Amino acid sequence: MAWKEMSELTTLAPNVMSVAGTMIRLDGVTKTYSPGGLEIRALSDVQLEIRRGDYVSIAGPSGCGKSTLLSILGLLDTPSAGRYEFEGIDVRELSVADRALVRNLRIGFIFQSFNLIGGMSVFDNVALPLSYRRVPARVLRERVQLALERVGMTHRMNHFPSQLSGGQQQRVAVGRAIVGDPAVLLADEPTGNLDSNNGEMVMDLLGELHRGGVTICMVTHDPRYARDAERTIYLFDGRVVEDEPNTPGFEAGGPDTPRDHTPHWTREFV
Amino acid sequence: MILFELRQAVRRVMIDGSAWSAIAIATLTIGLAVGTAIVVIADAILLRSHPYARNERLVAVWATAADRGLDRFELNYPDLKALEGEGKPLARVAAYAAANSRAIFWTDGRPLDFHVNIVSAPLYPMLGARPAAGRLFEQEDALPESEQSALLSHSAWVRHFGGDPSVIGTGLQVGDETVRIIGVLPQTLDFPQGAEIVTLLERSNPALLESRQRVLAGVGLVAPGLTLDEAHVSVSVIAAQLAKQQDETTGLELEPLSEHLMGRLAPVLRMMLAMGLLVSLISWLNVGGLFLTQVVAREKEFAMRMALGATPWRASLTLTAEALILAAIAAPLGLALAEILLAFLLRLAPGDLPSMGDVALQAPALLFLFTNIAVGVVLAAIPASLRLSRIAVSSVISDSGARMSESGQTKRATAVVTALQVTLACLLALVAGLFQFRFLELQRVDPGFDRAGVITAHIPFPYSMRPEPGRVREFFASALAEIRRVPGVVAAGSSLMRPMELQQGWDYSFVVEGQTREVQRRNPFANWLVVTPGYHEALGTRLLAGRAFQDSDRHDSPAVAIVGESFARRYWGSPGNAIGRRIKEVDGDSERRWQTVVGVVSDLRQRGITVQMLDVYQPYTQTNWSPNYLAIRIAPGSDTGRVMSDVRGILTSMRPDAVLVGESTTAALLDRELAQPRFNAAIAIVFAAAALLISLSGVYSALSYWVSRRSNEFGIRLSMGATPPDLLRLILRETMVIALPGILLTAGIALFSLRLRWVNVSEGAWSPVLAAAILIVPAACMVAAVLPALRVLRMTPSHAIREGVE
Repeated sequence: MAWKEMSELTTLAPNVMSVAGTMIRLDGVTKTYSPGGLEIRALSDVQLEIRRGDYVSIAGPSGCGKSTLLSILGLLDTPSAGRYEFEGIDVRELSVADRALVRNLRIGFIFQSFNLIGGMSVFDNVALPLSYRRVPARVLRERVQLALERVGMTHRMNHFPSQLSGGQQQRVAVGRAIVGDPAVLLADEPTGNLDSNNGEMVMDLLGELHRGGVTICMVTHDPRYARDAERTIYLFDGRVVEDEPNTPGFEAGGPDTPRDHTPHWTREFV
Repeated sequence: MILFELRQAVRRVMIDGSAWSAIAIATLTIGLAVGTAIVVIADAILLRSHPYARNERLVAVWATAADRGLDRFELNYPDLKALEGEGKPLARVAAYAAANSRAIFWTDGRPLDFHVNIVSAPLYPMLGARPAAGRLFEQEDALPESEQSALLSHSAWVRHFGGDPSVIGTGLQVGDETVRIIGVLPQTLDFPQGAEIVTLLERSNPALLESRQRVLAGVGLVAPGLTLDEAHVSVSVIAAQLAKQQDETTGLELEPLSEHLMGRLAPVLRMMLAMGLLVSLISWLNVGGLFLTQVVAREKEFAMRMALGATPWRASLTLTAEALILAAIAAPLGLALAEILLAFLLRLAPGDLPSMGDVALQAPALLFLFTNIAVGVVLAAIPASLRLSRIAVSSVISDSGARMSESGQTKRATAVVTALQVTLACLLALVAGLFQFRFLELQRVDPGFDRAGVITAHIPFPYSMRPEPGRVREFFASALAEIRRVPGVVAAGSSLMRPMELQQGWDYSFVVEGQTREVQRRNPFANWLVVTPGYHEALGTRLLAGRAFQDSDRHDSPAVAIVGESFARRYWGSPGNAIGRRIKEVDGDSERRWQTVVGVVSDLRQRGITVQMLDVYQPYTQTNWSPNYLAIRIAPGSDTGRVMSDVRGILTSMRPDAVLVGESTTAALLDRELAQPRFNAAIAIVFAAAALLISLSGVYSALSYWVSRRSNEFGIRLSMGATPPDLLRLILRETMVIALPGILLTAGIALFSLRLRWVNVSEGAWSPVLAAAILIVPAACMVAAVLPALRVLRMTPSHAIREGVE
């Protein structure tokens, strides 16, 4: 049934094939919130294009709009103004159910706090996205096992999140993100709650997925990991202030290596 | 995927959510048990008790004279036959005696005490009955040359003959006659209600076919092509013509037979059914409220599920699966509790409730249970699903602009759901209070006889078997004289009918001396009774003026009467003024002589504790009717068993067939009469208690949720100088916010109902009952608030801010 729904989605976006190279396009995207009547502009006139296979890191100081941008990219939230095309589809045309379907079929999420469901086993947590697709039980089992093998957590599949270390939990979260073969992986500070060893391991996993063709957008504060990406987008006060490829030469740099191409006005925040 | 959700739900309910799922399971268990128990009772009484009466064209036919104080009373055969035939409202009619009589039938020297009725031959074919054994009446049985034939009820067949088919053809001796058992009625056919043996009207009392004496009830089949309303109009026209011909003011009424058989029970049962369903509804509302708080507590989880591709509807399936698991656990517990409830309620049930013996958890109960669960699960999931649709999915991203949605709306929604439960509980408490008050009111009613020290019993000389009244009167005169000599007997008398034996009686149409014909026509029917000297003394009915009947009131002496207090006050102002006045019966088979009032006694609730009529008593020597019932007052401290043994000995020594049946103290008669209101009150109280319990758990859950959500705020308040009593005041206010809508709504509905008078209690009952209903619920809410309040009292500022209160 999921594939039938997918075809319906394609019907919604007849130009999906015509922009085969572009995964994500934001044109003048603005996002405002009005808690208690006070308007807060989280994103302002964001222009952005991410192509298939890109590995993009999003950086900026706290409150600059990184997470808001990630929410919009992941169809978790909607822009207040501007146009957002995901695989050629104007997301404004999508209903709540269509957006849920796109998230389920095309997007994988990795979160800073892992967001595993405590009452579910490792296997069930990873199986969760597939449970919304009506995948036959046998196929589901195979795909979950495959995903767990890729993150090295097969031996813990019957454990519960509370029985795992932080690094293991994040590996499970990565397994859950990739089990549905997403076209794009959105990672929100994936190493934020991990020690350096586990952080390296997760980043290695992301790198491996990228090499497998997955588009990755990653929010990170950590310049060491930001440099793993091919390109870094800098946000400040809700605006994209810089969007430039990472210099390969710095990839070998140590944790304390300063990024001398970091804009002067953001240096104090990074 | 359903299995996936169910598996997760099992874990969530059984392991992770032990506290809230325990509350939900307990709530559902109570709700399902109460709902199922009442459905079982209603099914047994309303649906299964009269399967033969389901033909909508079958109607009961009664006489009516509402303007003379009788909504329905017996009719005569000629009037009934006037409704039958081509061009008439009824295609067929049949008659039966409006009340069962009692007779001793002898077989092989063994006396069988039977409730007897007489029916006309077309009755059972009209009802579509099939015999359980033998055959039913046929037209040939009604011919004068045919042998007297009888049908046994199924219960009598089983009880007296062990269900042996060979009983067919057996002759039973009654008086000088033999009646032959030709068949057994089907088990599902209890008609006429309570009759154990049925003989043919055409053979047992053919005079009734021509008589205008009103002792029969009618059944008819509405003519093809006519609706019940059309038939009713047509019957009214014919009844008006008959009344004009006979110079009467009576009319004729049609009523669906099924409704008629349920009588006063149907509206009460329907109300009970509604109350039972309300309790179920409250339990599901409670679960709905719990789910609502669960959605908030698990908001991050649901946001995560939706981020991974679940739509709000799909995410709500998670809750639906959990509700199903809760219901699956609660269902067997509910059935077990329903069994206990049924056993308790059946112990209180009046013995004459139809088909109460068949009450058991059967298919309809299970059907109700599954339907209840299916509807309830959806109902419980609705508020939580609505809440799910407002979850900010982006809250799964740390530091995103969107925050977890404010709990204010959820708090309000939880308060609304809880207040709804409290309101319904208030209403049920009100109804239960009214039923209880009604019961207490009835208990306080003066029945007109002493409740202690009086034994009544029946000596069956059935009028249907045409005994010689003179011989029976002589028998009673001699027997009473002997009985009064028995040591321990203070007084003894006899009457045509003992109090509260039947709802029917002898309706006495009368004229008071000096009344014009026009005024006389507006006189209500009086309750007429034939009694012997000593009857009122034995019963404890107080003599207010004049004298009691005496042996000197003979057949050939001036006709005399005793009237009840209400009769005397209505026509002559006071009991004293009534003495020496004259009244006369204006129809019926009496001698129609002027009767001089020689005494006034206190009113007697002859036809039921709720029925107050004008009473007229006539001495047994001055009518053609003979007494049937003994009333014996026994001295305090006497051995009742020995006294009654002596009485039985006296009777059988005088006539071997003079067997005492249906011995009962007046207290037991009253107790039987009060069984129905007691049963009503018990069911209503059980329901109200269940509703209260459930709504209290709802209040507790809502307050616990509220306290836990605001623990941080409480910590801040405490750190800024608030004292625990300050916080308690907050909890008190929150409790009242939940309870107040229920109180106000209940008060409004109560006042509205008072105007409609939909519950038959005195106006004085409403104030205390309403006050109790609207006090007990908020008081109970306060009890429910104790635990959350204790948690708040135990808070320290640092703990509350750091940890919150769970």
